[in-house]
Amino acid sequence: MKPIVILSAFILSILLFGNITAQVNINGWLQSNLYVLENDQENQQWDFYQGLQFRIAPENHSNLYLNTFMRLAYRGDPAEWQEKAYNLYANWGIGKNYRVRIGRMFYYKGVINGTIDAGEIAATFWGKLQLHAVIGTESPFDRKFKIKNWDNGNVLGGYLSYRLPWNNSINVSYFQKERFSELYWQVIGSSLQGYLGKYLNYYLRYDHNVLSEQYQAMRYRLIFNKEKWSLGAEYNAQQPRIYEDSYFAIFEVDAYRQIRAIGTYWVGKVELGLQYLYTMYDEDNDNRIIASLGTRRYGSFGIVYQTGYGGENVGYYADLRYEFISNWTAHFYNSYYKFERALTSISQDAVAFRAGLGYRWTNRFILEGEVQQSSNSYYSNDFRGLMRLTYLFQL
Amino acid sequence: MMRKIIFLFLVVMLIFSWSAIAGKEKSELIFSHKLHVIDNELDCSTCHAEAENSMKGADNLMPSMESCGNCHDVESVEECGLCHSDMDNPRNVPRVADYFPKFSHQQHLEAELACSACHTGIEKKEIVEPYLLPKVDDCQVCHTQKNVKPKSHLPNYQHTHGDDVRSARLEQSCNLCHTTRYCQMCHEGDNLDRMTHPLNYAFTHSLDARGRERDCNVCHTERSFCIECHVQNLVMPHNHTAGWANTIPGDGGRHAMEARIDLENCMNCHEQNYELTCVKCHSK
Repeated sequence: MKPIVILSAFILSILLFGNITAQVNINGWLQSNLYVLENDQENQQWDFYQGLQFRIAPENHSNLYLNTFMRLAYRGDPAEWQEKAYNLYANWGIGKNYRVRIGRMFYYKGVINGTIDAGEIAATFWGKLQLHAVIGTESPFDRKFKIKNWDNGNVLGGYLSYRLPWNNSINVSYFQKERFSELYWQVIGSSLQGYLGKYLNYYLRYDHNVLSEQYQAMRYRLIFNKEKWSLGAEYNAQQPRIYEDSYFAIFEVDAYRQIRAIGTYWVGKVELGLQYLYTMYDEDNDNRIIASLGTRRYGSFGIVYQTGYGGENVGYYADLRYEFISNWTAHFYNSYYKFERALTSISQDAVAFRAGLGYRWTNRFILEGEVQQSSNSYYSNDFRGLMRLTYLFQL
Repeated sequence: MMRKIIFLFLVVMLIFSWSAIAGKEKSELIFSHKLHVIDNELDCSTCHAEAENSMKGADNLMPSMESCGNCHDVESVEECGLCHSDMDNPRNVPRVADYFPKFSHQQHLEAELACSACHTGIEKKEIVEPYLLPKVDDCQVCHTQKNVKPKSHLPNYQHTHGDDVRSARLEQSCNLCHTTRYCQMCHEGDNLDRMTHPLNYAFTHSLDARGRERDCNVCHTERSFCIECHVQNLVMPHNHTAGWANTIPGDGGRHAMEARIDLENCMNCHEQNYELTCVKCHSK
């Protein structure tokens, strides 16, 4: 039997038992996108994306629910409607301290990373210790309503978090992937995070790759937040993510190391920001500076400068919006980049515009329309249109 | 196997559903917000005075009987029935202490929000319902539509937010405003929103990738994602020019240096066809 049929029966059974025993709450949204563009053959193409996300739960038991996020896409080819299930899981919260979850879920905890078709058990002990365990298979790359064979990519992971005094916590996690009875990814991660005093937030993380017997990633960060000021410094080091069964595992490669610094300051209702990234490779370096100016109400503007291994790049972006009448919002985006990739001496320009209008009606319907235009070394004038209707429902 | 698991899960859910009849705990208090707020024009702070300085959701902001005593004769035994329907066991409203533990009333009042902005319609209520609390949707009116962000959302939060999500404790804070759908719009979406990858990103993304502004592999865990464009549209990297890879033993030329720096970049295209390209010179 196809998984989609089993899942449909599952949804139906939830709806049915909801009617029998108690009322159910359903909330979510339905979103239709119509995207008009000119394709590579200079023909007009109409793409259509239909998204559906909802959560269904018995009225008196919000901890028992089914959560979904699915999308149907039509991209110019009538023979190929693409169906994708990004999320489709049932959640059962047992009391305040236990949870069981099964289905397709988007999972990011510690070193466990990705969309998986799995079962998860989570428990909290003494209000301080959290335990999560997950087992299943990797979701298909195209997110179809299919479940991969166990042998062709199963995953197993665990996450443990302990809350320390003064808003600090320590986390340990483990994740492995196995294909044809061979482990091809096995990582252990640990992190410590929290506050030093009232203003200083820290984050320390170390991930170790068991198969390659070396560190996989390190990140150490400090952020100081006080009234109008925010200052942050970070050190990253990361090995390339090469699975053990990849041909490329035969090569010895260098990790990159990076220093990031960021500062922001509020002047009235305007936030001024400055970021600096310095990335070190064994044979080259890369520098990037981003200066930005942002307001909560009107959007942001930024200037980017990059030089080094990544290439040469000077540009700006402006992402602006304004609610000119209640519920009517206009937005505008413009960016310009003049860049030259490393190893070439070809200078290229890329300009982009986007302008649109959104209308929200009764907190239930949002209608948005926008035109997009970009020009670059490949397209002198790429012009597109997007119409979107979102319906937020609560039944 | 999977069918059995789903079937078992269905059975468990069905059994659970039969036990799902219990209702919410009813309050025995007799109280009309309408009478107090609309008819007698009392401010919310008359009864909920502590709200003004409350910085935690866990704070108890329910009025005590003493505060009722400012206007009513709470000492009189004959008056008990004015507020309590169960005089043998009078008690306060059932509290939900873990509702948004970090919520600061003070911060929101300082932002000049009226109580009714969140507790919409409470002033018209004539009975006490146990959970007259705003829904997340109500928060979204400001936090999403007007783009009011928490302090942690610095300009480079796009880079650091993953660390918060990876921590189960902080993830709960994310869930106050965001569902996983919000994450997936960028992480797995069709990029219609252009939030992560703006227009023209297809032409400038190599600068980000090489400069490590973003870690592509966080979202594009399968490199076949890159193949879709690079191979199908015959997009060759600009650096693959004459002399890119020479055949002099022990000297791979420029490509050897590039690969040492960023092998993932090579793998984007060549992982699925390494036998045609790499194995010719490199053997296991």
